[in-house]
Amino acid sequence: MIAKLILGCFGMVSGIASDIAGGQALEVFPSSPYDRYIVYETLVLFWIGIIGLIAIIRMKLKEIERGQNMGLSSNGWDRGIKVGMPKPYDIGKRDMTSFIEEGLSPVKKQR
Amino acid sequence: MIRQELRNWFEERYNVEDFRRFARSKRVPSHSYEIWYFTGGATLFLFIIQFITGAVLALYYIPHAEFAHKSIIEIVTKLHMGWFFRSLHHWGAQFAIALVLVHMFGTLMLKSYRKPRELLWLSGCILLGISIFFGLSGYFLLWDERAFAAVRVATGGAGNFPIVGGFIRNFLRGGIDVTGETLTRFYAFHVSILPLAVILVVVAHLFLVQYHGMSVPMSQESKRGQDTFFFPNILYKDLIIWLVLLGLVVTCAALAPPEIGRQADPLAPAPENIKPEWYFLSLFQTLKLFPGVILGLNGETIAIIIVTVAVLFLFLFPFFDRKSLRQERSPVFTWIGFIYIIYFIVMTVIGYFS
Repeated sequence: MIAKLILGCFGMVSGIASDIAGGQALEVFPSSPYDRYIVYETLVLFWIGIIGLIAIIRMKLKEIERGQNMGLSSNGWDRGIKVGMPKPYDIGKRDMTSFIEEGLSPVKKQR
Repeated sequence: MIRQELRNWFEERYNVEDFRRFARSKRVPSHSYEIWYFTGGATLFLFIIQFITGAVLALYYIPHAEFAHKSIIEIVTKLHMGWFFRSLHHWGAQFAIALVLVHMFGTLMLKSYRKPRELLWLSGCILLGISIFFGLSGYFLLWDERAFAAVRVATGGAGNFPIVGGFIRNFLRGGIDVTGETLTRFYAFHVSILPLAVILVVVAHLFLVQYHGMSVPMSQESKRGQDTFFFPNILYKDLIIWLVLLGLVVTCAALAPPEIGRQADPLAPAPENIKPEWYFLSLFQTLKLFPGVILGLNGETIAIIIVTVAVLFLFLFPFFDRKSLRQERSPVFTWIGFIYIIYFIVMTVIGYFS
């Protein structure tokens, strides 16, 4: 008898609980521990990818800025030199023959 | 080889060199507040995310009162990664509206709206309005009881405008009350009218930015350094910010997907403690400050009029700030802008916790 009562009460409580839960908002986040683990793991990998990309972009940006500070545009030696900036060394714009014609060695000019 | 051929094919037909020259010549001012320049690009990036995720969701959503809610449950529970795309769309919208507000308040405080950039300010304000309506219409597409009640309140509030209020309310609802007609109408706004409007206004906004160049705050005119190349320096910095933003949106979308309430029932009473989306909270809280009747007049109508005047004042800010127009400092308008920001934040926080 008591067992039946307990079972009946359990049935009622679980029924009401499921009814209330059914009335509540629908849970969207994966409920099983395995699915949750997959989500967390993917998220960690995703952030590692993002941080890696940011590191690469920053390195590239620094390289470009270094070139710009030396008076070069980001597109290389042949893209012109900033107006008004001192030209530390002209090898990139002039070939060796022009130095030889002037009787100068590129090494001497560097000094 | 194929790449070179394609390049040649293009260069024979189009003057690519002109575009390259333009890209190489574009410069951005460098100063202490240059970080604010990146908020606009970040907002644009979020709009692009919204377009992509929205297009994916539109493939499965059914804009009908009987099936809308069920179709969302199917997207979330049955489609592979459906819950994630929906969550990404939801969080992308929250971040986009927040960034539009940050971009706008930054522009306000740095007085970037001053002559000759008044039209830039106006187009930005229109974009904010469109973004908020995007949010409201998207929220309603859920067709759950909270969205239903929120739209009933919002369109009812619009109905309190003097003279044109009734027309606006009926136009938005597609009838005298919120029904399936409203859902069809909001769907049309959300997936066709508003995206078209956003594209047009964003193109105009970007064109104006190109035309006028970036604004330099008056306090930084004498302190500004050498201008920075847009390509590639600023673009790379933009990319870094976009990547961080993408990470944040994806993290929020993965860890906190928005829940789905019970299906809307037009005959059921509104649920208790109902609150609008966070960007409406300050307005909602302001309306709550007003009593039902003021000097024999409808309190809500008076509140709506006051809020409209405040919004219109903000919209026409560049034309009231006469000193900025003459490139002079205008501390009064700085304070007014500051009060707008503080009021918005405080009322939103009060609305959230009340």
